[in-house]
Amino acid sequence: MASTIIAVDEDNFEAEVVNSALPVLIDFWAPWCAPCRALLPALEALAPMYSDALKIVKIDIDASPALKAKFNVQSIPQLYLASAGAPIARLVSRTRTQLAAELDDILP
Amino acid sequence: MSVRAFLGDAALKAATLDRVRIRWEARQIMPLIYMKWSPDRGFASLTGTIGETGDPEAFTGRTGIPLELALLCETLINAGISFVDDPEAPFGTTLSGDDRILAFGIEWLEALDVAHELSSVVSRFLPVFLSGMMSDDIPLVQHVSPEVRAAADDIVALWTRELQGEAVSRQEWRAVRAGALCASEASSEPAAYPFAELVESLPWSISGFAPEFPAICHSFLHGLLQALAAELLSPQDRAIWAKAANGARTLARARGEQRFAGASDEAILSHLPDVERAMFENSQPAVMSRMSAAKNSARRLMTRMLRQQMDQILGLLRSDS
Repeated sequence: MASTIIAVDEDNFEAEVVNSALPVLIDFWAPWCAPCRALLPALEALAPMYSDALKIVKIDIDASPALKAKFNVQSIPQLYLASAGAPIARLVSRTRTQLAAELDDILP
Repeated sequence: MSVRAFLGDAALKAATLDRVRIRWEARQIMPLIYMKWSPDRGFASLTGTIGETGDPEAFTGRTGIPLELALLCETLINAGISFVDDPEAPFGTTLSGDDRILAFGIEWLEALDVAHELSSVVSRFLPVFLSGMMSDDIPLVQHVSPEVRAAADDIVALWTRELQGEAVSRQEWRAVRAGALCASEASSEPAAYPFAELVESLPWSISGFAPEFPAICHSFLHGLLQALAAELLSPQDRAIWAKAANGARTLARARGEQRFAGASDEAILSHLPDVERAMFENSQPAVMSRMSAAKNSARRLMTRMLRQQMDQILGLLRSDS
């Protein structure tokens, strides 16, 4: 299945995250991280559900160490909701049900 | 993606089976919960070995098998085996498990007919699995609240309608989801938490849901094993485990609170001394050692249930032929 989640790195972070008109849900992950891979289908499912309220992107922490440091990512998967490139909330849920409930609480 | 098992090629099926069977019977494949393929290191999961790839995007194109079906089969096997320290083994560990569980590693591949289009197998398994987990012969199911059972019934009913071709509205799913969340939140019996969390994870339209299921299934089976093991502990150890299970729920809720945004678990726990104490007690080496021994015994109690689920998958695969 082709991914509906945009891959972001240090080169396109400004364009895709900082300049985004919508809040951005950032999934910090790495290809070797099994829990990250397990979470991905839930995020893929959420992307079209929240397409008018939210952009979802993923950042490979190995490929973008500066972004990992910027968000102080200590473990993965780690989900942050960002506005204008700055974190406004950390999402802790790991299932589609819980993530949807969490997003519904946070998003206007 | 609509593809046939082994891309409709009987020769590919035979070659894949031969290749996997040799390594599986030699116990050179690790049944994991994710795809792993490192041929240079000789380390591979079952799914990685079948596709000879660690790339989820490439797997189905190479094999004609939906990734979620392969991962689900591997997850069921993983739940029934244990890894035993073995300094002589290439990776310092060997796997141990009941023959009925290990046999499934090849059985499901053999059951795939090259004429099969497999994209709906996991979707059709979903209501079978959820109904099965609420049946009276499942260990610990007696602790499940009526509300969680009712939510499970509602989910199965909507899935069944969808599988029969009926459209189910978003409003209907939203109502069932609200009921499942409410029932899970109200669940207060640690032995029933895995069931509550399973039901809470599932209330979504069956369309497109299958890729999420192997991870949900693993989480449930892992939780069930812990809860089953707790039943085998002394009353004192069981009380420690129950406090830690309740503490883990409290911590999970606290992580989402605005006041703890960005805080580490250690920082959050410093504000929750009772939870911190419960988790500290449960992480003492002697307690963990007794829990580990109990899990080995509990794993044997899961064999029958796991085998039943494997047989259900085989039934779905064979019913198409």
